[in-house]
Amino acid sequence: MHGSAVQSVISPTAHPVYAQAPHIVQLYDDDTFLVEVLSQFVGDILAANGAALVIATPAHRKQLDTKLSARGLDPVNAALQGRYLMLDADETLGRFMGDGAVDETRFNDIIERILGKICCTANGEELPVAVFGEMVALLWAEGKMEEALHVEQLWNHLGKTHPFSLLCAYPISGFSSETHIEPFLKLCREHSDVAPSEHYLVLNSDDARLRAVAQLEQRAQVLERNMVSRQSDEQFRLLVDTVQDYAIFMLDPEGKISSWNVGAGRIHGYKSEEILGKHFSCFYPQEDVERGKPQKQLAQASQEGRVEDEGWRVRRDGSWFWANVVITAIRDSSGKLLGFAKITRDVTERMRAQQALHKEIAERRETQRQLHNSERSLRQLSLHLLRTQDEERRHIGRDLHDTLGQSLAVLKMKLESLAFGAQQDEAIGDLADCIRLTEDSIKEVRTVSYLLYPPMLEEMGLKSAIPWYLDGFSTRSGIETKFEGHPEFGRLPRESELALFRVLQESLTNVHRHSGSRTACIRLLIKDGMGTLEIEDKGKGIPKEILEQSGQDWTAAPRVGLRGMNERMQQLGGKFELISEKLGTTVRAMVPVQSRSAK
Amino acid sequence: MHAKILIADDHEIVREGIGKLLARMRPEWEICGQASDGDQALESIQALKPDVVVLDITMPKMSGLEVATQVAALKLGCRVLMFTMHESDRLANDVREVGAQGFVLKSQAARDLVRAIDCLLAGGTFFGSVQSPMKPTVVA
Repeated sequence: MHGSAVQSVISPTAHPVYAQAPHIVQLYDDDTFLVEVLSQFVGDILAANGAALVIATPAHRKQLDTKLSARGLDPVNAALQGRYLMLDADETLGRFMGDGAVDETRFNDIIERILGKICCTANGEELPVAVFGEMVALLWAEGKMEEALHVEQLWNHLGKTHPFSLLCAYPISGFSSETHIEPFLKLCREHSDVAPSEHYLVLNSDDARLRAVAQLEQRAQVLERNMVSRQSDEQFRLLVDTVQDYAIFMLDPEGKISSWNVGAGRIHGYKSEEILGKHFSCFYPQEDVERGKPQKQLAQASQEGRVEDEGWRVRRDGSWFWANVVITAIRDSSGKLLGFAKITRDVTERMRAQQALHKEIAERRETQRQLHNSERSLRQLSLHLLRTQDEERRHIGRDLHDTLGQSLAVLKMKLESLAFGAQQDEAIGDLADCIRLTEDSIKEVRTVSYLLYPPMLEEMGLKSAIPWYLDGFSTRSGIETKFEGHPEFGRLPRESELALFRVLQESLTNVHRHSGSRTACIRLLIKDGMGTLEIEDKGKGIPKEILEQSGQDWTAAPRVGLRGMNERMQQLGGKFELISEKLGTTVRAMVPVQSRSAK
Repeated sequence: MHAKILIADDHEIVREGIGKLLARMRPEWEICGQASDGDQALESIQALKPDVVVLDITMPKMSGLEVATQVAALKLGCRVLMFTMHESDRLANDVREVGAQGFVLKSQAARDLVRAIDCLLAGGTFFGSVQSPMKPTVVA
């Protein structure tokens, strides 16, 4: 069966392009097949009285001899006639190889000499020559594919001047890897014919061959795709390898490191050969290892597909860095855990920046708190000052009124009494001057003491003191005042009465200085259970910007007057309201009616 | 005409001044007693039964206005003349309200006090002596 197939492709005598020095490559699976092909190739030429050169391995040479003899040929005799020469492939190869590469000149010299020997008989007759060479197959088997191709090219070159028929053979196992695809195609291009291996040749129908070709094409396509994919895998691997800012590496299902990139080396400080095969827990601080953190993270990644963590990790030199770590479980299509991809980033600087930020925020909060406290202390102090001031004013006012005032009154009384009985004109005149001076002093003392602290307030309460004060105010300012005192409005604690009185003084000062109002209405009433003082004017209102600045937080009011009023009320557990519109302003100060000791 | 006068004021200088003024102007009147606070004033009124009490408003323990209220409430039959440093038209109303019959400013004592006591002893009242120029003149 082999015979007929071989005949049609290989036979140097039958080959249609034989005259043009065919260069055939025979692929084979099995030595027996090769020897069969070879015996036919050599046998045919010898039978036709041609010459044959066989450069083969010892085993193939031996088998060929046996085969030729079996065919009834006499290789020994042919050799004696000088038209059959057998050379050892390895030895011949060694004669023109230098430094692992083919020496072109030596190759040409050697082969041309050999061909010269066998292609001419003793009487000068040129014989048809068939050459079988296995040196290329040896080079190929050693992985020297480029050298093999080079030798093929040298044979082709020789074929232009020496009309021989050349057969090479490669075991098909030499093309098992995808890396052989490219060189194989090149190899095919160096040959006039490519003879498929025996598996192809056994297909005896056209259909079967077509199917086989189709299968081959399919396989070729798969191989091509694999090549492309492999190339992109390779590119990806290179990409991963060269990434510097991320440690990207693989762990096997137990957590042992199985790949390592440049970034991993840079971040963790290990060389690839130092770390491959080690357990990844060596990146964790001892404390974390003791708590089983690495294992827990693998378990979590395995269970949830992915785990992300930020924490301290340890470099090879023992230094620590703050890492952002993502561990992703890698599974095959059936769900089997293949391992884990681990991506680590050194985010120490970011963490430190965040820490600094947090610290700054905390410090600012603390500053704010202190500021708040200072403000509160300041308010307390200002309240204390207000009270002290009130007390001091009251004290001075009373002293002036009670002591100096009384004395002056008695002085005047006595002077008037003296003047009553005086006889001399001169004395009468002097006494009148004294009386006038005393009267002026009384007036002065009265004015000062009343403004400092109205004694009537203490004795008679707001309802009496306010009308008295309004009389004076109207006289001084020209503003018409109206007073309404609710019948139920009685006495309040001294401090509350004084505070309301100060609000009245402050408000009327504002009415006089700022409002432009010609009238003011003052009311004392009980509102929501609070003793309430209202001062209403018909003026232009408080400018919007002052109200906006102060809002309802009177502590921030730019006018100390308003602020002081508010604080007095707050201190007494009361309220202070300010309603300012285009048609006027109403100030409302409220204190609890029930006595309440000020804090 | 004999009359018993009680002087109630927490300032000794005032009591002494009034005493001398009255002794000089109306030697026939008897200063039957003096009190230096509100409580003492009320007790003395009850004990001494003066015809007229010259009552300071600003006094310790009980103000003159309260004493006047008590006198009216207890119907002690004593005429009450408020004698004060306070200067206000409205004060006259307050004084009337508490049942007192008269009102004299200390600064006008020489001019008004004797006249006022005279009025009260005669069964009248005295409220007309307040002068507006005596009000404070400091700008608000």
